[in-house]
Amino acid sequence: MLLCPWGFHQNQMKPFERENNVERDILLIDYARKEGFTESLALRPVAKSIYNQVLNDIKKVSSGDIINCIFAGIEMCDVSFADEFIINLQKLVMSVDNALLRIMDANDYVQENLEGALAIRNKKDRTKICLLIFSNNNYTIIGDIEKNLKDTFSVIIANYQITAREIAQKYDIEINSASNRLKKLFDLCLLQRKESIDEMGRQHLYYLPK
Amino acid sequence: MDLFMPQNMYMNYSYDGLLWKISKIKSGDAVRLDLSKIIFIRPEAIILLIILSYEIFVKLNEPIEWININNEVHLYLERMDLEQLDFVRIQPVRKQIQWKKSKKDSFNLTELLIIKKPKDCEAVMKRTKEMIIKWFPDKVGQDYCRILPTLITEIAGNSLDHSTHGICYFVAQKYITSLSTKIVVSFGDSGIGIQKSLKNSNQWIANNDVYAIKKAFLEGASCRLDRSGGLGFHHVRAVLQKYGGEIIIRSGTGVISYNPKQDLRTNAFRNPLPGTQTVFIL
Repeated sequence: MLLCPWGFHQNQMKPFERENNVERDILLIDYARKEGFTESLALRPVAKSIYNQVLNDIKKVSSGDIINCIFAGIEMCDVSFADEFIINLQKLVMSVDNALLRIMDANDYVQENLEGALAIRNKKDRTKICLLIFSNNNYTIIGDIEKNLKDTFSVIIANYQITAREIAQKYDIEINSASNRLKKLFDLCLLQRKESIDEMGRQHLYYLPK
Repeated sequence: MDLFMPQNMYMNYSYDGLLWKISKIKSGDAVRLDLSKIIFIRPEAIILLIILSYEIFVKLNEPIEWININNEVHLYLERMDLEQLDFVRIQPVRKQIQWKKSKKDSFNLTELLIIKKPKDCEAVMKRTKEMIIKWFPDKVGQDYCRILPTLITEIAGNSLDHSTHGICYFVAQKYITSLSTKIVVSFGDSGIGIQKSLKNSNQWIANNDVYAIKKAFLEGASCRLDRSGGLGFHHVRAVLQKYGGEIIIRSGTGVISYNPKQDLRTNAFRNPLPGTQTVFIL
């Protein structure tokens, strides 16, 4: 019997069903060039224009979709751009069940400004929006989340998929609390999920795309 | 009519008399700007002169001549490539300057950089970074390179959005004193100013420039009808809190000065400055 690092029965989980997820890549450098920029993304009107172009190109975000927002080649992205483009894109993704936005190849400077934009927007609108960074095959979160959610997330990234029951066992908490933690992360669009049926019954399997 | 420019053209100084005279200029008047009192000039003064000249140019529809310029100030102006301004004519110096012109990059000053379109921001950021790396080839330079692009896009973005002819002027200069080395970065536009911009979306904004600047700078009030925006100044404040520095914003009759280590200082004058001017001391 295979055991996960914290001792769960890995063979209880169904293999990760990649075919359900459609990945869409948004190569931002291409859009930046169309706007006359070569290595930066700045200003709100530019962000609005790129947002409309992207919507036009990806047509529709559907349930289970993974949107990869790729910053390769972008040296700088200002807070206004981050707010108007990235945060609005995340809001759009959050409105679609089980969709996920991944920020990829964002350098420290871009990430710092994304963090700045999130902090101000969340404070101003009293919202709770976070972003998922995928870099070097590793996930991190930008934005303010509670410590217990951070801990839960770190458990998920160690194994890419998990159930509420496993979280409950790991932290010795009620299954409802574990389920709430995962649901919160899912609602923030930081995880995807699918239904899994095994000998323990029907449950949600929360995961991060590998 | 020759308008005498005051000796000190700092943002937080009063030049009410001068602004009042400019407000009275009528089409057909012959106006020149006399710079004879200026013996030392800073980036914000250059930007101010440009904005005032543009204001007069709009009224007269002919270029404004800057006259009686001190030799050193003249040399400074030469380094700034002011020939690119079609509404300014600089009177040649009376005494021929004998000094050899050095390469621009060897000075602690950028030329006048003009942002007319969003994509110009990138060129200005690149040029500024290039200069900063030459001025500070060490860690300090890296910090400046991290801060300045954000400040440039946020302030220039506001200017492009709210300026009548959509232009933002930009100058940066390195200052070395016995105690420290600083960069002064100055922006300016001849737009409608912060108060009128905010009134587009916030009818309740009081007819008070200081209040409007504070509302935009401290609370992130947005001038957009869809309530987007308003993050720029917020982020600028966060950057100053993190890295240190001071900002002075003058729009209309109001001026505020913010330094994270001090209380916010405000001042109000009688006559409005056209557009908005922003200065960073970093």
